[in-house]
Amino acid sequence: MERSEPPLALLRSAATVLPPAILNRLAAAVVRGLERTRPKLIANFAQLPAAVVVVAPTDLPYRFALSVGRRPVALRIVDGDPGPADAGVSGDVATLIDLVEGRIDGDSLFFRRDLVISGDTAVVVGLRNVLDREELSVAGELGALCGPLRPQARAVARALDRALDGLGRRLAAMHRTLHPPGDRPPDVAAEIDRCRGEIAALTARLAALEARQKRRDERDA
Amino acid sequence: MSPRYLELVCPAGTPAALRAAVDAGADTVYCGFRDCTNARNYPGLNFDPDELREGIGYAHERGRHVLVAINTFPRAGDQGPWQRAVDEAAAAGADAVILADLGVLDYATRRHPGLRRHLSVQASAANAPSIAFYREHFGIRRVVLPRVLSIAEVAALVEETGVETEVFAFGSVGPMSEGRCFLSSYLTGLSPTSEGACAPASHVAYVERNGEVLSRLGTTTLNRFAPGEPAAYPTPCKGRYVTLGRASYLFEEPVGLNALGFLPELKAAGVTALKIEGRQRSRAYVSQVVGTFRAALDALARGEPPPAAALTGETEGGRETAGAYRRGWR
Repeated sequence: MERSEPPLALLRSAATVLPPAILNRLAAAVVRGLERTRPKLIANFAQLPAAVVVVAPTDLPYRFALSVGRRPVALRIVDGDPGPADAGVSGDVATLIDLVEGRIDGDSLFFRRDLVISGDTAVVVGLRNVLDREELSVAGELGALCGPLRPQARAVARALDRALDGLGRRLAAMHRTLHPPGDRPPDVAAEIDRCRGEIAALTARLAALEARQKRRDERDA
Repeated sequence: MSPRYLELVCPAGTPAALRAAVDAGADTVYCGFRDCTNARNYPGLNFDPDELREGIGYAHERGRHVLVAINTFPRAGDQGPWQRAVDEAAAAGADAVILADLGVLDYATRRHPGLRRHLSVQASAANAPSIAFYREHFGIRRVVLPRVLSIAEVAALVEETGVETEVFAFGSVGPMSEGRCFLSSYLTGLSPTSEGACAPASHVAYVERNGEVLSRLGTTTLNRFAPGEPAAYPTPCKGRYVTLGRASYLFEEPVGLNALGFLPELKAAGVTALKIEGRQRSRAYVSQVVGTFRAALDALARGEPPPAAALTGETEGGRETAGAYRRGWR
């Protein structure tokens, strides 16, 4: 499998724009592809204790729920509550891809607090070790979905990634132009103080009205 | 590769890590089987016999060696897995086995007399009579020294015993009574010396709370890391305990050992080999650390100063120490 830089801008954009139904079809296709091309990886996933691991990229709107310890191994992409999970891993998408591709050490990330682990640590450690046995390439595995058109797909993906990366930079520049650093943000604290004062005044006025009404009721009685 | 300055012995928890270690310049790689016979028995880690054979083939084709660690202690009445591991290592063509238990040493000596035997650090042999005993009775050719000796003490042992010595150059450091530490068993019910894992992952939990991370082993909270504070492994020896109203590291701080700065002194002491610790770490760690030490050793072999290198990103707690090499043992 060829190793190449993951098209991060394209992946981020696709994960943001595409609906979960389409992403889930892609995820299922990737797992089916891995069953063909990397049977040992899938067998090692299946040998882990039965568990659902939720991988939550901090800069994507979706979470990935991977079911291991059974056949078939399943990968779901969800945009809401992923349901009960045995373990969780969280970090930004670039870090997570580096981890999957073996470019970075999980323990080092943990020492630096760049990776957050929760739930059953044995499941997370097992998953990390099983992945590290393989020399995976996210771009390569996605490209494999295109079959004989893989070279063309890679070229299109690279072009799209560059275009999206450029677009992102231009949008960021536009944002900086529209909101120059000199722009004073609204004084939130002063606004809160003003609201508090208004609430206090209204509360006092309400209390006075209630007292007046009470006196009237007593007089009429 | 330049003429050997010191033998570089590197860890591999997976076949991919073995290839990474060889490609990064390891002279020798050590690994273990996927069971309780080795001291890094973590989920998803280690080799089956076929993977070991393939790994040894990969290393031998490139002129490197592979050692197999069978360095835990058999459970009472259950020698089988350890003896099978010795047989499988021999059958796979291992260059040596790293052993700790007297019974396993005896079995390997009798059954495979031609198979080179190294004494594991788990045997905790830190004095000349102890090392001489293993040499005379089991023909050990090399001893892996515990991380409790100063460089002067290492030199004295080399002089007295005449056995090859392998010393830790990078990785964990702790208040080692290696092979005899049962601290984590009090919290987990599992023996680190027979089950092969100190602080087994099945009993570890990390809890995020208001930016702080609590690390737990069993039901005991061992540490609490403030937001941004570098984290550490949840081993009892590196827990932060409250005494006299103050939380502190009573036994050992979470730091990593790094001997990169005094390799000439270790060579002058007569050391044969440097051991990089970390079979539980990824192949990225292996490539980074092995590559750094390879560059340093090659530079020293050419009579040049080693290139500047920083490995603090790979160390526990993000800090480094010279351990007992500089200060001796407390």
